[in-house]
Amino acid sequence: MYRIGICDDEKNTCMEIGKMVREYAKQTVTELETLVWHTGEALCEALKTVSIDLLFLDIELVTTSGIEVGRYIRNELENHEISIAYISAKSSYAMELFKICPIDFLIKPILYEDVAEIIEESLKRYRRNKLIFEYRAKGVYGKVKYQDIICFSSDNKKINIVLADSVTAFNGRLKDILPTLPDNFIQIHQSYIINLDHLLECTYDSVKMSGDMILSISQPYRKDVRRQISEFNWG
Amino acid sequence: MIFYIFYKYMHCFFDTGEVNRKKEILVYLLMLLWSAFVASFSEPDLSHATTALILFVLTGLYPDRLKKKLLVTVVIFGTYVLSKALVVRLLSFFRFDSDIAFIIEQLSVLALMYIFELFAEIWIEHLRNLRVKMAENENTKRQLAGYSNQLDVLKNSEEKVRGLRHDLKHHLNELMLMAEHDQSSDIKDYIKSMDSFMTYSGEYVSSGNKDIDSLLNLMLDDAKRELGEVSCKVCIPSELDIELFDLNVILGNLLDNAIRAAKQTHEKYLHVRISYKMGMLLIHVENSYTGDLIKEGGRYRSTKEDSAAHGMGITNVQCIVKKYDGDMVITEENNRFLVKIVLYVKTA
Repeated sequence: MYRIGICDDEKNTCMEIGKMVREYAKQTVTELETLVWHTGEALCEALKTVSIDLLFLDIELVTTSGIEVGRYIRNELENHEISIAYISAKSSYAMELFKICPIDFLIKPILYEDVAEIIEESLKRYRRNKLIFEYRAKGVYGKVKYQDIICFSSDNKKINIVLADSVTAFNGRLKDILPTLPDNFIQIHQSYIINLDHLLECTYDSVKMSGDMILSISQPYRKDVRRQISEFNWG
Repeated sequence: MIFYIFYKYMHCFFDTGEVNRKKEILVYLLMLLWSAFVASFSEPDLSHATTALILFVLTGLYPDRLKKKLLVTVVIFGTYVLSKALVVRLLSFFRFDSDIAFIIEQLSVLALMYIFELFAEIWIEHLRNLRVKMAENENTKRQLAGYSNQLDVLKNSEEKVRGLRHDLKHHLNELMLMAEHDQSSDIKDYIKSMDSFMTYSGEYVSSGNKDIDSLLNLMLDDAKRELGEVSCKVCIPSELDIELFDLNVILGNLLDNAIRAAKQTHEKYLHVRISYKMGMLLIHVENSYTGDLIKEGGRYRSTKEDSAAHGMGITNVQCIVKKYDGDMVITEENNRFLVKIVLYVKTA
């Protein structure tokens, strides 16, 4: 079940977004569950045990701010899968917010169309991440969720699947697996295919992936990579 | 040697940023082989024709209009023939052994070609500087107008808030009265009217990035007056490592063009979206247009009267985009004109 969290100290805002989420669920016949918190502390505590997929998060929470909560999710919990949509009364944003890679920003008063668009976008991501990559290593079949793959790297005739905490190798060539991967996987180098959902920052010639891994984009790929990443962000 | 000089000429006349180096070198080497092959058993006339042909093939490497390619071929070939004629003429005053004469002739032709090339380079550099100056001028004007407009915006919204504060007690009383009588719909209306009183209509964008705010508020104010539907969403950090001049060139030119085009249409809409993701500044400008843009050699020409100035605008935007290793994509379909720009910008 797809879970949506709402965290705002104004109870009315929470109610309003909750109503919009239910409206969206009804209109698109999607099963959605909503969870509501009113403080950053309560949310952080709950996230230790509960998993959610999309979070509407107020920036101006009183005690623990939305920035701190975002940082906690990304850095402490090392969770890059939750889509975070920030809510604010103002339309000016601090730099720190962008480091958390939010899916979008909502400005009060909140409009249904914007909420619907965010849920849509985040659902798209959720669905592609649930898919599973299968491979065969040393005669044994292995499975890994796409959302856990930071990148594929190759050396000689081996492909390494790089996850946050481990690396698994199997025999194969990148150019054979590339067409079978979801759209968010792009090749940036003869020996790297990256998952754009794990991309934190990029320049024309390098990318920074989650876990602060820095990979270079080789010259022949640069223009294509630029186009692919910007199209990915424009949606 | 002569090929190196051809290469210098090409780089002087064409925009070479998009060219694959390996391919370029390969083509030059091929041409070199060809010319050596032809020269080994031919008369001078034929070799001239070959040179011209080689030059034209070389221009094919660079992305530009055919007219310009032909022109460049003629110019380079012209200087080549001219240098040769000049050298032969000069050498005829002296008497050398035929071997030495040949070497001297070849060397002088090269030297002369090289000098011509330097002149051309200087001249083109001068033109470029002139254009930059013109753009700077335009920018300064726009910036000044932007700042004075932003000052007005701030002053006006400040005044509105002050006015509201002045009457706050009265408003609170009114609201309390309504609350006592449970008139919730009246309360809603009252709050709405307070809100609309407070917000100044000239402020469309307040991203906290002063430069972008003042520029967009000025341009969107124009747009609002001329067009029917104007929307703008800006989600960017308040501090970005991009020069104000560069932003001005991009947003100023894009919005100018978009507003001008949309004005002539029936729908009259303009949508602007600026966001910042993963180190990329993404700019998205969409407008309605009548569809009679003239495209020439892959570039848009203007329907505007002083079309030289207009074409310059887009060229300037392209220059800035390149400076930030960026990319610009223009699409048009169903009377919808869309420009998407991506720039790599670090946060300050």
